[in-house]
Amino acid sequence: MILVIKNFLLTNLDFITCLIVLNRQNNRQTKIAQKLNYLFGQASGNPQTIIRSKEMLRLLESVGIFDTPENRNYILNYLKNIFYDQTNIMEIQTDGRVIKDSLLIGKQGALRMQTVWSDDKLITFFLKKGDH
Amino acid sequence: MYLTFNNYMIEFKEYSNQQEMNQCLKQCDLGSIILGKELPSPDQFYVAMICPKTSELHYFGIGICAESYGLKPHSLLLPQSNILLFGFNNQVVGININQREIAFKINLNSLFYYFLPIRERQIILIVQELDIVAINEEGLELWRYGKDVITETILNGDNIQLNFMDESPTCLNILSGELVKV
Repeated sequence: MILVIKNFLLTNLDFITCLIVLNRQNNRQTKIAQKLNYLFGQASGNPQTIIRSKEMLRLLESVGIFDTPENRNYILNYLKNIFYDQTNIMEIQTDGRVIKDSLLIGKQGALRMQTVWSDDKLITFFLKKGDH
Repeated sequence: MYLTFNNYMIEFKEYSNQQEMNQCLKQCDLGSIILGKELPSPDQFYVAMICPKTSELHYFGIGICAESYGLKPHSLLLPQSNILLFGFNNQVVGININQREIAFKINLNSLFYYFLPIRERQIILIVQELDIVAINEEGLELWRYGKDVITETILNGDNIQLNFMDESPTCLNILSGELVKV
């Protein structure tokens, strides 16, 4: 029985690897999607969290990125590209978190976006006006 | 409006640009300190004007340059040690009011949110966007912990429960920072 399982795994190693990668990508996408509520002003909890969330929405709207399904999809794909880009690392903190730097283009301007990652998990964002 | 702190009166002011902040600090005949001047693009400027309760009017100034992110700096008075704590951006700075100098500086791994003093334990919890740091009143760091956006802090005796945005809650012992089983 063990031999059968072993043979199956060896024969289908590429397929199984592909499934694992896809599963991890889906998990990462789900976690990024959860953080979009934070980015689009819908966070709850302590006052500072709510204030931060609403401020990020204000900045997004200032460059023409309003909370719509299309824009959420745009941001989701944008964040996935940031994750896979190895050239945009701005800083690796002492606690291991990675800060990545990017430019987010909206219909009415641009924002500097810094994203904070822990391994493959998106933790938080910093948004600044384009001239900062 | 003034705040009384030991033998001092403190007035907090907010300015729209660094030039106005500097102009205010120039009036301080007892000297001044500027915090956050290393920040690349500050957009918030504050001054704490500290006036000793003497027969004449003298001022010591503490200027703060900060980046907004929608948040404002916080201040916490520690009367026992004559320390005035300021929390903003990624740092907490303790100023000794008597010596008129920086007593300590704590670098944070995420944005400062608020102070949570635990007076009976002489511990100050520094709550941030992603982390929590415990220090004593001399500025010695006791422990730090963080894993995701903190949405709520709940004190329960010697424990603190942290609720996170995308992670399961964590309970820590305030004194040691060790995980406590809920």
